[in-house]
Amino acid sequence: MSAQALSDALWALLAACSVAAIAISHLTSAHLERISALVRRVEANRAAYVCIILSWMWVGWHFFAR
Amino acid sequence: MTDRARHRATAVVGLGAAIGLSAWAAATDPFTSGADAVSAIGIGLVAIEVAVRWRRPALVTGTDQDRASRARWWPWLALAAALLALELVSFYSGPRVDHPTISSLYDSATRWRAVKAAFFLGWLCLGAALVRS
Repeated sequence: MSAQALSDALWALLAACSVAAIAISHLTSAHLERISALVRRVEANRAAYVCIILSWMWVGWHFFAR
Repeated sequence: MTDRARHRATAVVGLGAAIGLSAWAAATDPFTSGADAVSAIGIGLVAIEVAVRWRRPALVTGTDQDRASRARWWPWLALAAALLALELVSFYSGPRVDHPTISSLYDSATRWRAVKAAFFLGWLCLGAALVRS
């Protein structure tokens, strides 16, 4: 297997795991916390909230402007 | 106009503005003043909303607390760690075509303007969700 195929497979696997985790977390019987609830808990700490907002800003600037 | 109707009208106007900004962003290229401007507008809108809501306490509902007491969060940490590890390994490996990073995957995907508009709209919606949570 080439390095490129391996890298593509790993990224695809992580993407699939992310989608599966999001779907599982929305099942009523799931024992996996939803991202929205996790973010709300983290945001209760103002410093963590600022870090999350700054991270969001950096992602946008990095991908769309620079 | 009731509060509910006003809230709905605000949401519709906000979504329309976000779609307009996304269309504008899709027509820009990185490292240009247009790309800087449209990104700065998105960041500025969220920064204003954060400042306006700063003094309000975070809303944690009873349902959230009930779920949080029994829900596991560590799988998200494991997933984030795996993403970070693969990103770092790819970043320090070469050539980029064999070891793509998230940025290079994004560059490949956004050759199509519609995909770029969708990414920008998703970024704006995520920002709105973060300040309204």
